[in-house]
Parts: sequence; structure tokens; C-alpha cells
Amino acid sequence: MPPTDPPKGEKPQKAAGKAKHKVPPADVVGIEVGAGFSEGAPAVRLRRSPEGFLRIVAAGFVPVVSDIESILAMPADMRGPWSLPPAFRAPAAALAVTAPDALVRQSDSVEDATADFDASTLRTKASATGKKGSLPFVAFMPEELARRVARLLPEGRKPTAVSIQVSPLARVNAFAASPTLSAAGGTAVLVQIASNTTTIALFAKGAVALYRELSVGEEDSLHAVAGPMNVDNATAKELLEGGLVDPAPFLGPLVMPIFRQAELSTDWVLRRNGLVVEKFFVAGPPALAPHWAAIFRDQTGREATTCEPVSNFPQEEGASLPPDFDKVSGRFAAAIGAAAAAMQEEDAE
Amino acid sequence: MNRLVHVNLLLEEERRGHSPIRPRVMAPMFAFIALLAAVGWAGLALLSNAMIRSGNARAEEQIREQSSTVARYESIVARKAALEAEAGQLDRFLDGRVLFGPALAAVAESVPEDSSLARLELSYPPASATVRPAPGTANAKKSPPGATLRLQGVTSRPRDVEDLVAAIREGGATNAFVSAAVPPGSFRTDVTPGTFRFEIVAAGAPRSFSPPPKTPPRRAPAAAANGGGNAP
Repeated sequence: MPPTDPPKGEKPQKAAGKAKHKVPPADVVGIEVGAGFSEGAPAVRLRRSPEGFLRIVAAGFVPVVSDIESILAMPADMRGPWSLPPAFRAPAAALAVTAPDALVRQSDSVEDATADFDASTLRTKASATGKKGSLPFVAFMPEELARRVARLLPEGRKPTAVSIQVSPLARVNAFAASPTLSAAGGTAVLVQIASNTTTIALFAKGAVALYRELSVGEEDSLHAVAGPMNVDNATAKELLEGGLVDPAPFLGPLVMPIFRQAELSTDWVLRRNGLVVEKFFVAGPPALAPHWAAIFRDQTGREATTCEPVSNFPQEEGASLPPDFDKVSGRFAAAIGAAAAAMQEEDAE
Repeated sequence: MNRLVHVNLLLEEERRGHSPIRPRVMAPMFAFIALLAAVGWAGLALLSNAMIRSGNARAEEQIREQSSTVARYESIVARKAALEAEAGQLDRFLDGRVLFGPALAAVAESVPEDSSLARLELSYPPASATVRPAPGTANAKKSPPGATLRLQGVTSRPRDVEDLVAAIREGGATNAFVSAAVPPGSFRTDVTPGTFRFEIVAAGAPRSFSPPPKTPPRRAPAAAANGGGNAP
């Protein structure tokens, strides 16, 4: 359903304390907390050149305790248990938190955005209303989790946390910062497949105009394929990656409502801003993204391409990267998006 | 670059610095050190002030104690100066005395056997004549007149009078008399035939009150040595 104008007389809840104007850092390491990878926490160090271009300095999995359960089990007054490898010791760190209740929603009030949560247990923050009247973004996560995440990095040693963000929004920011969106002219739709959710982000003239999160993700897609084929999810994933089966009959009913939502969003942008959105990008697991894009092309006749925002991100000469970075670059989307967002001023009232 | 959405859930009070020198820790420490230094400085200043005050009080007390001693010393010095001046005056007085005892004894021994003295008069000029002229005047260097010895007697030999005059001039009385002479008209015949009356006038040495030497040796009174009492 396309968004409407925000109701008059109701403003989103302001952030705790007045945001101070600070010069954004030019060297930031982004780390995803709660990614759940056995290799460690995905981390990407970004540096902004004097000309204003972002480049990857280092990327990899850092061996730190980053699963949400372990972090919540830490004492509330812990003092910086994390120590990063030298390549990731940027002056500043941006942490992207992946947790079931670390979310972002587009709403004109914090109350509406957190209506299905106990708001008293959450730390919330809303962005400013967009120039074109787009709804503010309300990010939130449990207060206990936010308090502990803020203390993961030690004081008096690089890096120190300058930003805590939610991973879904960080992934959208990774696409916004990537050359892919710039090449598309700044106006496009991104369908981002996560493990249990799918986000639709509509960019108009380089800025996010619309954000939606749907409760259909990788797990649901694999289950939709595995069930009729009578295999488990892992086997279904292997089959999808190998291209041995055509999953369109199984995935179509699941995926088409998502793309219909995306089409409705483009109509809203056309009516509101007079912008014609022709570029559709699908980002997500290699086992699913190409099939989702193919279904969209077949059903709507529009062009949809798969993309991996991180893989074509500019890199500094001699950047420290894992050997199979191209294959696993999708895992660094939240980290790179958090770092890129932290390099610009806070988007808050 | 495209516009990113940066919704930061980190609270301002949760921000930490990466510098090993943490203003959050160092600022109170520096403030405490500065406060400690200020308190220490103030304490030292107060202590120093108290010590200076105590020293001043002691010095004032010592000055008060010494001032009486100094006054006593100054009075002693003044008294000593006065006594020294008085002693100097006495010395000058003693120096200025003209002792006539030995001179008169010498005169008595010089009187010939054929002569006799009927009258002996030793007199000083009046006080106004002994006043020394003011310094710078024409008579400033002129000594005041001395005593005058006037002898009247009888002799049978005129030559004895001349001998007596010579004895006064050149004999043992030269310390007291500077000249002796028979005034004109004073040698004449007596009522007794062969005898003559005569008169001799001798001028005494002038009295001199010259200042004593700078380091004068203390001198015993001359009167005791001379067995005097014949000084004027």
C-alpha cells in the first residue's frame, strides 16, 4: 500500500537530547553485531578521500563475541571486551545490530512504529521528515541491547563507537552508497532479501523515499521450494544455486505480492514526484536473488537485475580483503552501510 | 554521493574517546591538582605571611629592647664627651697655670745680705685686661698680660739692686717672669744715711690656654708635684 502524507499535528518523537553538530568522521569501521556467522563479525573499514569518495580499506570477519545472546549475558557495566585486528582500528566505529527486534519503520510517530512492542523497553530514534514530505524513519532496539552494544568497544583505544544503527537500514544505506544506485541515476527500487524478511526501498533522486519491510525472507523462500520437492532447506538451496530446477512455480505466489508492492510504490513516486522508476534491483542470497529477478521480469515485463552493493564498491589500493571477498561480499552489506552512514551527519531532529 | 539515512541510536553520554588521555578522567584530575596547588599555594602564602609577621614582631620587640640600650649608650657617649671636654678644659687650665712658688723662693735666695725687702706685691691686671681679643682682630695673636711682681726694699749697696734684677731676669725665676727692671725714679736715698730705697718691677709670663695635644697623656696634677697652693 503506498504511503500517504503524514497526519497534521503529530510529530515523531525526538531523539533523547538535542543532536550536536559534529564533523562526521572520515575513517570508520562498520561492524555487524548479531550476524550469526561462524567466521566472526563482518567488519568493513571505509575511508573518505579528500575528494569525497568512499573506499574500502579493509574487510573481513573479526574474531569477537558478537551473537546477541552472549552480548545480553554480559554485565551491564562491562568495559570494552572487544579488541579488533590492527587493520580495523579506525578512529570511529559504526555498529549495525541484527536482532529480531532491532528494526526500522517509516512512520510519522514512534508510537505507531513500535505499536507491536513494549515501548518502555526500547531505545528509539526518529529521523527528520524528508524534504518531499516523506515519512520519518523510526529505528529502535531493546534498551538493554543498545546499552551493551555501546560498551563493546573499549575507551581510550581505537576504534570507539560513534554510531549504533539497525541492520535493515544499514543494508539499504549500503545500496545507497554503492555505485549501482549512482549509475541508475539515483532513482530505483531495491528488493533486499534477508533471512526472515524482505525490504523494499524506493530511492528517488538518491534519497530513500519509501521503505517497507515484509515478513517473507530467505527461509520462507527455501521452504516454499523444499516442501513441494520434498527436500530440506539446505538441499533446496543447493539446487537453487546450481540452477538445476526452475523454482518459479513454487516461488511465484510468494514473491509476486512483494513485487506488486514495489510496483505500487513506483506509482506513488510517479504521482507525487513525477519520477518514473524503471530500475529494479534484487539483492540477497545467490540462491534466490536471480530467481526472484527472473520471476519479476516474467510476470511484469520490467527489467530487474540482481546486484551486490558491496562487490562493486571502490577499494583502496592494497586493501586488506578476504581471498573470497567477491563470493561473500553480500555478508558485509550491513557493516559497509553502517560505516557509510556514519560518515555523514546524523539524520535526526 | 546519494543521501543515506543515518538514524543513530548511540546516546551522547555513551560516546567514548579513543585517546588514551581521557578528558572525562583527566579534567577532574587536573581540576583536583589545580585545586590542590591553589590550596597549597594559599597555605604557603599564609604560612609565609605568618612567619613574616612573627619575624616583624620579634624585630620590633628587639628594637624596643635595644632602643633603651641605645639611648643609654648615647647618653653615656654624650656624658663621656662632656667629661672629655671638661677634662680638656681642666688640662688647658693646668697648662695655662703660672707657678710662682719656685720663682719666689729663687727670688728670696737671691736677695743680698746687705739688702732687705720691705714689700712684695704680686698682682694681676684687672679681668677686663685679660680677655683675649676676638679671633681675626689685630691683637688676636697677642698674649694676655701676665702677673706683675713689685718688690720694695732697702739696701746699702746699689750694686746689690742690679744683682737682684739680674737674678730675677736670669736666675731661677725665669719660668715665672720674663722681664725685670727698676722703674725710673724709684731708686732714691733713704732717711738713714748710706742706705737707699729701691723698687723692682718684674713682668710675669703670660698665661696660655693653648689646646692640649690630640692624644694627651693623662697628667698628674702639677700642684701636687710642686707642693703648690701658691697658684692664683
